[in-house]
Amino acid sequence: MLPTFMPVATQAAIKGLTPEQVESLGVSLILNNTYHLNLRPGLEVLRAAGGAHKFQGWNRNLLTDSGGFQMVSLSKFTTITEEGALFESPFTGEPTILTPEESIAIQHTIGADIIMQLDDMHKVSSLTVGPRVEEAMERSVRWLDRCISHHQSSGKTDTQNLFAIVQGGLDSDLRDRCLDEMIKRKDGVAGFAIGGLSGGEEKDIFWRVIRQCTGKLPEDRPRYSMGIGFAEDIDDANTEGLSKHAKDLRPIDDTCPCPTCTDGTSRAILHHTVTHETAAAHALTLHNITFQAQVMGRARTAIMNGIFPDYLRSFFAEYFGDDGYPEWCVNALRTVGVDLLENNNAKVIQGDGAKWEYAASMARQ
Amino acid sequence: MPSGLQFTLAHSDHAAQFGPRLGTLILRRPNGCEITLDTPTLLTSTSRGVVSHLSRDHVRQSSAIRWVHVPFETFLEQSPPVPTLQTGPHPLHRFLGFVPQDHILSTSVRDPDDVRQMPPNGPNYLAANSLRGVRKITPNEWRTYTDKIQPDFVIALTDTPHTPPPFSQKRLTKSIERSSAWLASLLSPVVSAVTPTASTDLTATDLSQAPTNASDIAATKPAVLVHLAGAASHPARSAFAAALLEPLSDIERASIGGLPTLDAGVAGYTIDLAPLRIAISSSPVSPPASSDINPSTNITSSLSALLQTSLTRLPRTKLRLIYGTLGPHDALHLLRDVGTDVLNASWALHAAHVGVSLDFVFPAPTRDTSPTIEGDSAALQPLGRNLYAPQYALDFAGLSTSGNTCECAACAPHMPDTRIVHGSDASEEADAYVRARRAASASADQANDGGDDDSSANLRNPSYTRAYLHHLLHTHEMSAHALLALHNLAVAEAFLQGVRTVLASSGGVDRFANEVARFEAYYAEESLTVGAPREEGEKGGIMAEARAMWAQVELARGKGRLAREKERAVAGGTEAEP
Ligand SMILES: [Zn+2]
Ligand SMILES: [Zn+2]
Repeated sequence: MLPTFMPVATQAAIKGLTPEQVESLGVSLILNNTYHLNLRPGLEVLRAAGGAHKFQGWNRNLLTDSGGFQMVSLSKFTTITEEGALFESPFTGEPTILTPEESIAIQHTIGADIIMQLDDMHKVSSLTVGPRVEEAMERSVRWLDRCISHHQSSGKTDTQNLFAIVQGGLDSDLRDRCLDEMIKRKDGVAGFAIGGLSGGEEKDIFWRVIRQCTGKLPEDRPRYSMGIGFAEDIDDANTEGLSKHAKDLRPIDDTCPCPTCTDGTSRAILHHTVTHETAAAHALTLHNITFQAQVMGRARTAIMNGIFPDYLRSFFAEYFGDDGYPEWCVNALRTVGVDLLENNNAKVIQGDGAKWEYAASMARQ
Repeated sequence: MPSGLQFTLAHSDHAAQFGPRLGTLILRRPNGCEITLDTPTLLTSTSRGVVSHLSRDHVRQSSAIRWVHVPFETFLEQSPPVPTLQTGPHPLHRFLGFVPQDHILSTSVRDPDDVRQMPPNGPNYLAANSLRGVRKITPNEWRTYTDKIQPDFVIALTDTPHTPPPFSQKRLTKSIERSSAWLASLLSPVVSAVTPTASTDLTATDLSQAPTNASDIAATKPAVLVHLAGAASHPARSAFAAALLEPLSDIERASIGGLPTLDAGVAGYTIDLAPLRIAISSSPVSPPASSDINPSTNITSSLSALLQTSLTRLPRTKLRLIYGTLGPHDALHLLRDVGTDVLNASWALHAAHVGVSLDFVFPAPTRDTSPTIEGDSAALQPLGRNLYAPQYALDFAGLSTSGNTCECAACAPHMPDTRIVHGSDASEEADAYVRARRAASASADQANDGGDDDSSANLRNPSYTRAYLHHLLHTHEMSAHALLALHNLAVAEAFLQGVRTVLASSGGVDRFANEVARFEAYYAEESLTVGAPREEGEKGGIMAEARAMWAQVELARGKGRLAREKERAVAGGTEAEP
């Protein structure tokens, strides 16, 4: 059921909610972070529990990353060698190596439905252009081979789906070469993720890369656009915004189907409890997850009904109407034949706009 | 007592003024819906209007949460208090998300557990505590607010001194006078002369005074409870009870709608233990009025003696609500020695807050045959587990010792009944999943016993494990506390269910005393309340251990969190994690 919204359960829990609550919100896929689960509870516990699904009581789909990204960003030093990523153990300070085989083995123990290859990334911002990008791209292809081979020899292909990660930074030639190589390995993978983007790059360029990849990837494999998230946790925005609502008895959004809004939880009681009571955080999380899943669900419906351009136009009008449309979104969508400004004289603003990530997840369709 | 309310004690032949009581409380709402609670019943406390750690859906799933108490003082931060702006029927229920068909709401100005020092109350106002500092509230304002928010029970303002004890006789006299005057103010009719009708225990004459039909009264006037004032002084407590029972002059009667006494207007009595404990521990207890009660240096027996002094002349058939027990032992002693119908269990939530899962039952298990928390079956058992402790990292058992069945959402989670649909095709996907689960559970059933075909009851997920809770606690995940709160409240309610079952059996009162003794011989007594004064020589148990580990994780994770917030702030975002 794609596209879908995937909440992040870094530590095998989603911000104060129980898995039953998350499921009741209509969520069917969550993300666990391999790096974090490897530290806590650790593989011994996960193995004894029979995997992360059972450990956290989540019966639906689960996705894990390779663990490499957090290792690179959270460790003091990391060196990439052909063998793997060398880093300082957070436990002992000893040099430790994460190989492609090790990453897959860890993900096998966690047992997620969708697992990721280990790819070569350095501190990501420095890796979107330059000679190191080519080296990383080529190594990621070689590591994909090692991941596929380890995955197949472990006999886990029936229960866990391995995704390749397309690298190549912002260089369109490198992206093409990477796409070609990885598509050749299509039979060994269940889907493709688009990596090597930091989210910090120019949005026009970012979007061009996404489009280049989606244009080329095989239709019969799902795609996962990494690093695209919903910008704000809406509770942060609301924490700010709620201060104006001390006596406002309306819910956050009276058209929202979440338990918080349908119960009529007022902005006033949220204002009264937010930052003091975890129950207020739970109420906001129930709303946020529902809101984000709704955005994705409506997009999916629009795609199926062939009215995605209309959906985009109404989404932009609703979401960016007052603040102005980011220019890059307007440009990007125009190149795929969607004119956001058709019958609409909305304000267009330079730069990202505060809410660009929403637009990004739309644009990648 | 408004006639929408009915409280009946069982064993009405057993007319002892003190001792364990079994009863039924029925609240009939004007729209015909009825809430029935068997007493002694559990009262769940709120903080800023919410049950700590629980979202509204969790509150509704919890069968332990039936009577909810709302300290109102934090709402004095806004003027007028926001709940008074809520429109429609049952405004307080609606504002806080409680369900009129399921939840009884009571409210007091102060949090009865809050014993921090406060500026003194005035002759015509109470000093209340809010985030914006001390707020003064007059008896008139309290009546106006509570008439608007329509709780089921309102506790009259009471002048409990929150200045350092001991209290002079002059201070106590003032306290009693103010508390009675403030009660009279709450009882005085607002617009038309609506008189609270008598409770079922009063005579037929009293009942006939009801001027209008029952539903009108229930809709307009909450039942009034009065706090038994007098601090740690036996003479003062006697004097306050006497003031409640004193026949009123004609003028006084007229001002409170014709009631013969103040007591005739109240549905029951409340006792706040927390300030009383402070008063006892910092002043020598004056001797009880009746000479047959020996004052003891032990706080619990001092408490019992003081409560008995207050209650000795008051009608035994009215509701008694005790707020501030420290744990099950304390609760049992008060049930046995004084007798109460409503008990709060803030300790269940305190324990959840510091990572303790409660695990005790009443009657206590039989020693030789039952699995125990501590290996040595002869030793006194702890009341639960500190799930921070390393031995739970690989413990995949549920929260209760095997044999203690718990039906809470942590021990017996159910697959959700409904899912929100996102996108037109999502319901098909969800339906397919539910069908698959049903099919799997049906075939598992056949394989197991070939019997039970109640498939929806079987769409139950396994209990959350100690290992998972241990992980959540160490990773500072809030869902640990939600699951523990649900479980601990269920344990507290099951404990009271056990009390009721024993009392309902033949020879219940005597059997109860035996079972209390067995409970004491089985479980180690420990205060489960954060911040309660320790008795001398009391050792730290699971709570002390858990508190220390909780603080460590809070410090380590809290630090990390602050650093992350700082990073995000630098990156231009804002972050305000609760
Ligand atoms: Zn909502
Ligand atoms: Zn339980």
